[in-house]
Amino acid sequence: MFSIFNSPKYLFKLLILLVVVGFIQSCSKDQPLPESQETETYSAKHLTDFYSLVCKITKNTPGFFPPQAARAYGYISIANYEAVRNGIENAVSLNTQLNGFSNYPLPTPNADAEYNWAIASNAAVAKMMIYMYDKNLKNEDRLKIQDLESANLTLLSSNVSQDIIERSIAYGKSVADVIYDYSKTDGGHESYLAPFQLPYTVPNDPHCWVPTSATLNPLSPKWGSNRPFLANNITKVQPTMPVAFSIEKSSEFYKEAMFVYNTVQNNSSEQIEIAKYWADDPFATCTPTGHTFAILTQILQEERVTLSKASVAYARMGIAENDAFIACWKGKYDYLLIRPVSYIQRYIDPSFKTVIGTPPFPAYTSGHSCEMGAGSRILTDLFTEGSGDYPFTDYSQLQFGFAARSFRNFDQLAEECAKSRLYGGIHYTFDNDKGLIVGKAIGDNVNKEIKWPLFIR
Amino acid sequence: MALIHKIIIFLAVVLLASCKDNRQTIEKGIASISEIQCRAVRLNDRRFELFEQIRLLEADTIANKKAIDSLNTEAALIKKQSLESADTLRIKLADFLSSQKFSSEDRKYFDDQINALVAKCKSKK
Repeated sequence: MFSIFNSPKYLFKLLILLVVVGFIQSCSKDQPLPESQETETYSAKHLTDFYSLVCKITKNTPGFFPPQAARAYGYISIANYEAVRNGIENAVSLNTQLNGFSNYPLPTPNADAEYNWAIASNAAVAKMMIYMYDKNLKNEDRLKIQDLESANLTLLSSNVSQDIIERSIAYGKSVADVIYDYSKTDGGHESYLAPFQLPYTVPNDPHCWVPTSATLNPLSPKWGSNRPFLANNITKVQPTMPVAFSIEKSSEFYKEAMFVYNTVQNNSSEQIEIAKYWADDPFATCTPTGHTFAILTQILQEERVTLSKASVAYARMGIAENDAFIACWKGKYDYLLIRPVSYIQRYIDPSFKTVIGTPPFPAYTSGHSCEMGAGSRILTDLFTEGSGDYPFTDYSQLQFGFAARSFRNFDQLAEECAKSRLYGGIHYTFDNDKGLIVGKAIGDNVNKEIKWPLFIR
Repeated sequence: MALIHKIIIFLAVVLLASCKDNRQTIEKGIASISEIQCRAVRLNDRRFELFEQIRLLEADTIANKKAIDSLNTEAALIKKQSLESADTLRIKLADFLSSQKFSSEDRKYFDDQINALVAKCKSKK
């Protein structure tokens, strides 16, 4: 009987195949990134550690609702980018590219002196974090920032001369000072002290938002007039209302509300889990932006990127998230649309209950959809090289007792996040669909309008 | 010919062993976090229960003030415990996942195993 195992030709080929497979497997074992004075080879570990701390502090600091959190992430990310930017080949400063930023000249590093960009980044991020959470920052959290900065510095300073360390720290901190000055004029400065921006009166009209919980005032009604990082993110992407308000049973609006009602009544257990998963749950998570940043951080860690790519990635995401919330909040208060729960209880079923709590602000468009739409475009551009494919598992909610969720790509991730708001009973379908469109347009603007350095790893 | 046979068998065994090794590593890693993962699941369930109870009572904040205050006190405690356990779990998971490069098959195996653990924790309730 013929067997390939008796044929020297096949045996030889099989042997070659096994050697090649074994070689590839051995090559795929991870190699630690070299610690070096060269910018492109700095590890991003100190930075990803800082973003994990940003998430933790966001949860723990009063007044950090989704818009306030997105803003804090945005400015921290810009401070970091500018602190390391001179060490990234072909990187252009954001100073000439972001709205109103050029009024705040950044310090220029001494061309004749050596800097350690990781140390500059460490100093800038630590200082910017304290600035952004400042007056509500708990002492224990202030200490955590200082401790992490100090621990990072010890690791980063190995074999670095004292003058380079001091120069790099001073540079990083001076960059943070300028970014903080820039942030003070955007309309959101210290908004965590009074996030409901009172006084504000909601018009008494049947289509208008009414309280859906004990929180009687809507959150941050003036947020939509904040200065965005890119003006086009607000002026070019505002949605029109797709469905006219009506209480007539034959109207499109009524049908939309009925669709929410029927969805909630017939939710599967999987849909309820999805609603809770993306709710960025009561009491214990760092808002939708924090969830998106946690996903980004996970991917940066998995991809073992350098400080250069991590800094660019965080800056892109920070700009997109900040602007997504401004654009979204502008729409919310331009239209002031009543939430499904209020409409359904008034006109369909007074006993209607949502799956998760309805947050205290108008419906149109969905904040989650805007921010994840924006985030999905940033992630796609950063990691998929145009194909859009990126099989990925989000582990970020395991720590809060949820299962891990897997996705084929970032579009699917954004779609699920948007749909979760329908399953939760807190948004109409058009809130989510239009929110995704707005968010994706913002993400695309951030990818295209800003000159980002290319070919970084 | 016999030598080539032996080499092939040896390499195949090495490859299979390395594959099995990663599965064992994953199982060990998951076993090491099983207790704290179950705690995270319990705390998650309790957070949502509390939030739901508070949400219902808030329909009448004056009549239910005492009950709401009491639930808010528990909610603050649960939040603190949740954040502490989340911190420990996050660090353990990140350390484990960055400790070595897993193939996509290994990742799939990890995902299945961790989700089986979460389901088991839920069923233990």
